[in-house]
Amino acid sequence: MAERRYKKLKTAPYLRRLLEQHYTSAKYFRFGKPLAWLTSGAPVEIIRAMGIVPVYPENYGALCGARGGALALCQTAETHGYSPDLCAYARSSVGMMLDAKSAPLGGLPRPDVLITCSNICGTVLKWYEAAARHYGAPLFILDTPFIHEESGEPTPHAVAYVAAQLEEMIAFLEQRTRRKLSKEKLLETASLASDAVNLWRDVRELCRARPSPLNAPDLFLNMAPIVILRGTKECVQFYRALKEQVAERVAQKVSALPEEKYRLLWDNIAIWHHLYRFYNFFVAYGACFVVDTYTGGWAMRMDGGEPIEALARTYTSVFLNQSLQTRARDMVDLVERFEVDGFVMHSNRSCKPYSVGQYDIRRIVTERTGRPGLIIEADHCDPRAYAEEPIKAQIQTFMEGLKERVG
Amino acid sequence: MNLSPLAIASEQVASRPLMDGMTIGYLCTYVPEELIHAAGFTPIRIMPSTTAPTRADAHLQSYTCCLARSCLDQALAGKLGALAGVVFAHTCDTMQGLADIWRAAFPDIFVDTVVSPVALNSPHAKAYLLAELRRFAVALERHFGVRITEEALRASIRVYNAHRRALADFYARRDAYTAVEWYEVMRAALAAPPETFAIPAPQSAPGNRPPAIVLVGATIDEPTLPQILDDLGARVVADDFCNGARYFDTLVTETGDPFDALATRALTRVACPCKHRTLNARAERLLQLVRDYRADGVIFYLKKFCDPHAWDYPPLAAALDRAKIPHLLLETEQVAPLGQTRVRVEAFLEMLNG
Repeated sequence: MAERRYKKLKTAPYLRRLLEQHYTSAKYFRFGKPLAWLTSGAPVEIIRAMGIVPVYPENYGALCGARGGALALCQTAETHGYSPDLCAYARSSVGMMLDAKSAPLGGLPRPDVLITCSNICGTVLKWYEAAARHYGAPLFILDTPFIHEESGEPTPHAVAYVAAQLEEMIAFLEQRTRRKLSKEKLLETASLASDAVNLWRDVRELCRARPSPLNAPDLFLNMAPIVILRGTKECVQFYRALKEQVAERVAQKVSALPEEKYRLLWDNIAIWHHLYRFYNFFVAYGACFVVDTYTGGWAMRMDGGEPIEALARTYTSVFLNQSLQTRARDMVDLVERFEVDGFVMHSNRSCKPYSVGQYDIRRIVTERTGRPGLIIEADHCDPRAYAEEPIKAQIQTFMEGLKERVG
Repeated sequence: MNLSPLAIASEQVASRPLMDGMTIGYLCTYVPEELIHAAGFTPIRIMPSTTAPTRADAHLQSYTCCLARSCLDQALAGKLGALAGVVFAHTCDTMQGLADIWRAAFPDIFVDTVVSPVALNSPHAKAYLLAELRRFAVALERHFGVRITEEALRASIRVYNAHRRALADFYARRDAYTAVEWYEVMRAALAAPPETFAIPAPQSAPGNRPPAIVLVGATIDEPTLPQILDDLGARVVADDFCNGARYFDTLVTETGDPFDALATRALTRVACPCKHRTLNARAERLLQLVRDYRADGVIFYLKKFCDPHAWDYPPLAAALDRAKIPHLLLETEQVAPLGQTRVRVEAFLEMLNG
């Protein structure tokens, strides 16, 4: 990974320690607790409240991408018949299942149960089916019907369906892990998750300041705890410390970049394998990504009220389970509130639900806000889909256009 | 490739109802045709053409499947006539995105998605799907100012059951037809009003007892592969295509609550790989087809960028390997490359004959 060309956060060692602890304790210090593999959009509150240890293959995929181990794992999966057109997180994960010894961190620990939630994509169904076949672990599918409604609200029957499945999931976990879910523990975990989500949202909102205290790679790195440690005290503590530091930057008008000349919005998952190198091309122009749509996926409003129905509503309504019309509306809102000069969309070969519809979203957002958008095709995890020279040329053209518009 | 009389007839049938504004296109067999029919419309399956898409490139990335790109492209080029609406069912990520793109591109027509459940094994899927089918029926009624009466729905269920029975009967007589004829019959069957559709008599007798093949894939959209199989002397004895045997599998119960009957069929029919019933349901069914039809081999005819089928390929191939059943993977974009496909199929058939 290339060096970053902008300021490092003081909380960086804290973050690294937290993530190391997560992977080490899940692997070596579980003290007999069962282990669940979970998709990033699954209601972890229930899992944690039952004392089941969650790990996230998607986060592990990002880690493999960032550390440069993804390519070899993808190739292992491909030699076993998995198409190179499939999601590279999933291919890395399958490669890790087939050859854990050569995988970063020696691979993820073996799952006792598998929980996949359809709110982020259809891939996670097939991926977890493959894991269930490989490990012989029981699989639970939480089916969260996609919201095509332009209101962005799930239908009442969808909420009822998801709530009924959550009850079923609890029974499934109780039976498979011989652990009981206590209502108090669930409320406590949900409240911790909600606190962390609110703090994360505050951190993101602080980037409305000029200059922005953070750039997109800061958001990408610092989102890890909200995904993998949501519902824990450690997670809340971390985001308190992060918020404090980011607020301090805002108070002292400290910019993430040496100099912020342009403000941009990022759409889609990070290009993990070229994280700093890629964003450095923008840093060279003084362009800061002050907001993105991806890390906002974990800054959702947690629904209040009866916990099971609240979880059903919250997890069905996540942004990747929303129509392109709703996502375009949300992006217009971000463009305006964060006062960005333009937006960059990563057309991500590995993530069809996020990417299909981007061409229309770009048109809608530009029509409504007058801001230009650039679409760059790459892949969140497979470095073979990253063609640097054409990408550099695209960035140059886009930034020169922006220079003429903004000055 | 010249069109046979049967293909020409099917094209004529396909283009007729599109002109009257009473046709609703659909893109997936999880769309309840019976409800569209009972609302007074003719449901027609929109299928890819053989023309390379151009207009669709403004909406869909090059890494989406040709089915999505070609269907949208035909609509944008005005080749689908005056459709009153287009209906999707929830299946894969690309179709999910395409439904919203379609709605944005055609704001004046009825565009809806029946968000059918993914977890067919969930005890709650039935209640949910029932409510979703009712929502869809109300959406049709409101948009077009029509009433879907119970009587009309029962009548439509009978029409489609008869259509499915006729196709099942055609499959039972499949040995009398060439692979190209089979392809053309199925293409016409999904593009014609079921009341006027009749299965034509075989035009030319296929050869006797060549290798028996099972075809597996999402949809079969053009006749290159059937033509190659006919030319090289192979019989398609069974298939697992969405626009093949999966289309007419399982009838809708004609008694009781018709919505309940539609939901039950959707949940119990042979599943597409976007849906989950059990971990090994598709492998078990494929092995069953091979046994039932005494097939000599299996050809996976997969579309590039079709994720659900690509995901199922390794476990299905492994199941066939364990049962010592030869198989071949052909991955195609819109039109299978004739020479290359022929060479690979020929080598496969030689192995089966050897």
